[in-house]
Amino acid sequence: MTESIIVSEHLVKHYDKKRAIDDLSLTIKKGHVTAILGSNGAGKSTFFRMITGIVRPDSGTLSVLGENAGWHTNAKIAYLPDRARWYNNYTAEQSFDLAARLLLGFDKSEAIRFAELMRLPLDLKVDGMSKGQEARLMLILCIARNVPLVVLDEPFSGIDAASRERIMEALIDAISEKEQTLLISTHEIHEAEGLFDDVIFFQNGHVLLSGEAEELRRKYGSIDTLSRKLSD
Amino acid sequence: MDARHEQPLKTLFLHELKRRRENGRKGINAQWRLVYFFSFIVIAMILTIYFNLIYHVQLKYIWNICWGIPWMIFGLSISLIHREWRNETVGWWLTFPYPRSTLVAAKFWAMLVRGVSLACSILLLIIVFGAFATLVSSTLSFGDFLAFIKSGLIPILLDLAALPLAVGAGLILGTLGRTKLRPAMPLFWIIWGLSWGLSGSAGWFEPLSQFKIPIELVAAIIGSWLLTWILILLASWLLEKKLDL
Repeated sequence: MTESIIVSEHLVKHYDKKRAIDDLSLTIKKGHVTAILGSNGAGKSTFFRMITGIVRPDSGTLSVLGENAGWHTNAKIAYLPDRARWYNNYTAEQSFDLAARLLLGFDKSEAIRFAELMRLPLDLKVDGMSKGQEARLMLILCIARNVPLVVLDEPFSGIDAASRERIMEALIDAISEKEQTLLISTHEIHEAEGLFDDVIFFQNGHVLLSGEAEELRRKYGSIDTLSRKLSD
Repeated sequence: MDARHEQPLKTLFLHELKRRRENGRKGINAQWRLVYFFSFIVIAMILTIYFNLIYHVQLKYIWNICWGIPWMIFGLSISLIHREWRNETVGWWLTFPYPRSTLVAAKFWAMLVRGVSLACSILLLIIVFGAFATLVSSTLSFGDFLAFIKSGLIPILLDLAALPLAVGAGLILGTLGRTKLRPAMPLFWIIWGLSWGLSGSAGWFEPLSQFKIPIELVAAIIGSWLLTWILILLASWLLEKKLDL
């Protein structure tokens, strides 16, 4: 039986009167690539923030790497926040140096290799980067870490096709080498679905449908098709 | 833990300082900063000469500028928290794998260094201004200049003593605004305003003009440092438990 890395039971989170997370119970398998899919406002980002301990559930339990989520568990999690920007006064190389000092498990030489793969200039300041270049830099800061769990919230959001392609290449490269668990949310399902081992569809803060990607593909043709069907 | 991660406070402190320097440059390049600096110097010199010719200048009042420094640092400390949200770096900042007290303390020390640098720069500028005013004045003597510097020591020392509380109060207010306890912000302003009013009317500052430091003032300064420590702990607790994201 596959080991679990995240277990949530009856999680609830309100924002005023809105239930962002509504009785959410799920299990994420260790070593798998799990896609968390769903329309905007389905609760994906809130769930990811709970995993990293920056949002606390109103009720329910959440176990991450066998512990309660908090700042201490983030030592073992590489997290790419939703709609994030990086510090604009750093070059890519300075960012890697900062990450090496602050983020546990960060491997600078691997980051430089990814930067070459993604054609990201090391001496360019974030201030002068395009949105796609900045997104690539932030992704490198996550995938160049040797930690058991990588959580990527919309890594392709607002970036061009060429950058998406480079990010995909780097992601495939990263996960094929390490035994990491990858949790990813994206609206670019068509481009990313080859990565997925498991898929969980969120709707109104709870699980609408979940299963192994292969099984769902056999039933519905593709995850992208299934996603369109569910959102209709 | 890896050896290089053993000093997260130092790394985060240097990171905050670097952000401060670089962000300050944004939108205005080196040439324009020089233009502004020299324009300020020329205008200050012209005004000094003019007022020296027309009036008998009372140099000591210039030290009143110093009372603004803690307020300026208080405001900058609030924005130190807000900019994590404004610059969309909050997701990174809050997921650094260190205690929230380390994240807040790094900001505290970086802003304290900034405040001390600002106070020292203003002290230097005022002394240069006083020297220039004495040189161009027909009524001011070297003795007046020395008395002027002496009269500035107290406001600068009080500034430096008040800086920790100004930073701590700014950080707690900035944090409070991002938590579920946001409705408590008016309460903060009431307590903050009352504290300043009471300390101002307690008469602690009057003996200072004779260079006597009352014991109550010393106790108040030490008390304010203790309060600062409590405020940092409170800000850390708010980030840990009451964040509204």
